[in-house]
Amino acid sequence: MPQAKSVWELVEGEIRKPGTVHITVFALLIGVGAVAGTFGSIAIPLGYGVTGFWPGVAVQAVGGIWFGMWGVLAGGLFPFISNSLAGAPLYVSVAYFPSNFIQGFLPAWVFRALKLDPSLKSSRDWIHFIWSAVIVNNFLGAFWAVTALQWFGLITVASVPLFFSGWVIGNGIPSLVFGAILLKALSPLVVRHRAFCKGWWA
Amino acid sequence: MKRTLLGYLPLESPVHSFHPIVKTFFLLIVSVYPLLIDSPDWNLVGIFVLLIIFYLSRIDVSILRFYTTIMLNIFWIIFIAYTFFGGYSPDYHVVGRLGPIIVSWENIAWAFSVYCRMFWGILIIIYFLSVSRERDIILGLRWLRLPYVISYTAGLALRSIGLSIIDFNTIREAEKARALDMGELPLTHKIKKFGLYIVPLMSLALRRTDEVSNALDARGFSFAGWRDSRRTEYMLSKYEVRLRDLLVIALMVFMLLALLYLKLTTAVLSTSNSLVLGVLARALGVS
Repeated sequence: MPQAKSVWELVEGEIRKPGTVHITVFALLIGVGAVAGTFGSIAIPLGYGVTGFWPGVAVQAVGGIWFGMWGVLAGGLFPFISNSLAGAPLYVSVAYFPSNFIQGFLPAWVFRALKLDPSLKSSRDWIHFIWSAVIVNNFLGAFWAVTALQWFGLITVASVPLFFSGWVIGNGIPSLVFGAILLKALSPLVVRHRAFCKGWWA
Repeated sequence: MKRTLLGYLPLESPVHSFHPIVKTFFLLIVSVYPLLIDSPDWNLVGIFVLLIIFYLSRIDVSILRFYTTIMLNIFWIIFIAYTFFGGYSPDYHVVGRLGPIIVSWENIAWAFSVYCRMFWGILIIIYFLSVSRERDIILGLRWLRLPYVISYTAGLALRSIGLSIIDFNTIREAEKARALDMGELPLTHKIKKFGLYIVPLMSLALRRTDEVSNALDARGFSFAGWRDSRRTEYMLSKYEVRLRDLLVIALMVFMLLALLYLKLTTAVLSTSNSLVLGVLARALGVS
């Protein structure tokens, strides 16, 4: 069988369509993310679901890279569960949805647009992983989150740096450490799995 | 006892007699109430009423002790954020000074109001999780006639949480069997060890993906067929919407509309006439 130049390209004759496997992986990612997210939110809570250490962001970034929009949507939805279990009101979880969405969407888009290897084999893969899945996605997520918290009157302008830095650091470190471990360890297995999305939905 | 999302609910609880859709509406509608109320007086009334509902629903209130640390953390974060980082205006009433930091009554009042609002919001979530089962959420979605794929996926997601927790505990037990004593490790090592559970959790989730999707395919489910809303609603047929379900839903909606009206047209829900804040101000010596 002819080999594709990258994991993102369809080989000749390959047809991919959304199916039951994608619905299933979407649902199961929510479960894994909820467990990972709940642990972090309880371990070092800062308030309003913001935590000094949140492993759930690794599931968001990696889920988006591997499973496209299924992973991105799962990453946006499982925090509803983990935040609720950690004691954040529902409206706070709703307000955080755009943050959680972008934290999964940006690395998913970058990896597909630049045809990066999810196994992080080259320095190019690492560089783009770090800026898209560790730094910029969490900066954007934090920016929206503190804005939402201000809208609800839950934080003041003067306390924005505290929550912003808590979000960025609390997400950035797990995303770097656990995201890299997940991609290095499981990508060779996942890219051969039928749930792996070369496009956005299949 | 019936297993709920957060614990167990006695069979004698009157909550079981309500249609699952009531619980869904409770989460969606009552969660908005704290958002509309600034006055700590009314938020405290809401907290008191909800605690009475906890008691009437026969929920074991000891479940709240698991949230004690979270509630205290949130209290300190709000207190510190508003008191020391709340900003200052010359017309504020100064309560004290800590070096260059001015502690003013207005910031303390706002911190107290925000905390009361958060406390009520958190109690609402705890109540919903204490009385709801996965089936209730799925039935609520089905009753709303959402596509089958959405309710099925929601049910699978909720069930997978329990499966992931079982896997998580299995991995922990395996590490204990290998003489790993988490209690002796420093915090950074504990965090690292817990985080490395994600790799086996994801592996197990991938394997389960194959099993579940193969089972669905073997039963003839197809992606297109999931959009068909004319399925036989066996589980839903076991529940009947009764007058009291409609009355409770109507009451919740009425309360929401009333709060919206008061919020938009009056100052009843604002902090300006709060009795509790008045008492607090006098206690701090603020005129």
